[in-house]
Amino acid sequence: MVFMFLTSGLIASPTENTLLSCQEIDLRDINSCLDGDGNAYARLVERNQSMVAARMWRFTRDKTAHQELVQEVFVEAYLSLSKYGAKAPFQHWLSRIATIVGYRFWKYRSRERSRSSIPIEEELDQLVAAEPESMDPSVAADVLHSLLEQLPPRDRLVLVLRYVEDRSVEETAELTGWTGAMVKVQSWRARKKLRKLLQDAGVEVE
Amino acid sequence: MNELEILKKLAAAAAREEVPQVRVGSRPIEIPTAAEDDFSRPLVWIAGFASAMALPAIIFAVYTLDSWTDPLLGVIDGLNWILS
Repeated sequence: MVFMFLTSGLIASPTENTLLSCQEIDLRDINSCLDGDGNAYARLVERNQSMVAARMWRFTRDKTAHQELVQEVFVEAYLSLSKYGAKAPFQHWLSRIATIVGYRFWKYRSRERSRSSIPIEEELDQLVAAEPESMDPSVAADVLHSLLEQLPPRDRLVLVLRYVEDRSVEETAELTGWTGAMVKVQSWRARKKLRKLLQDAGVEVE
Repeated sequence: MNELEILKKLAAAAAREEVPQVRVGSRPIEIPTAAEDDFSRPLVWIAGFASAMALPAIIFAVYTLDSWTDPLLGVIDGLNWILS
């Protein structure tokens, strides 16, 4: 039904055309997969694995764990594929699963070890003084990860979604399953903790 | 500079980082599912056959139990047979 609606929809621009085509293809493969076509899911994986890999790289810097997380996202998506209602594009749905898997990973890791004591002060001081263009991307990503790793998973998640990925309150709420008000409160608390963390690391914060 | 500006600055630099490529093996997802089907199909037939065989056995068991618990029924049946 949804598939038919999408195919009969008006195509306004080349971008929208491409977007609609992707949705159509995804929906067709989802239906084929649910009908028992084993290769349909392979095609879905092939099209979306780069997006999921980029997303999961925010949750870990360990390449083995990263690979496992990406795999886990696709396994979870496969197992709940019949619940996909096509209310939103498949990528959004997959992104939500990725967020849940990543958040669960953080929670597991935070239970497994006590708060890390990664030495971030030196690099952070130097980085804060530099312009983003002149920073080494890997070093910046390492420092960012180490910094956020010292926060509880909830704070970390909201900061990543709202400010690292630059998502709106509504988008963050959709991905996390929280209410808009909860996202705002959590962001405020997380910012406060981040400020304290930076101050403790000897960084001047206004 | 406040905490958000620092965070966004780091995020902007980190965004230029190349993400490691992951090749997801979709086959392992498909193979266990197919294997599960192959494995469970004979079991379904065995379960169906066992159920079909169990039904007459249950009827026979109930009949036998009735005969044992009410010996008069056996006597009456015997008399009926003699009289007829």
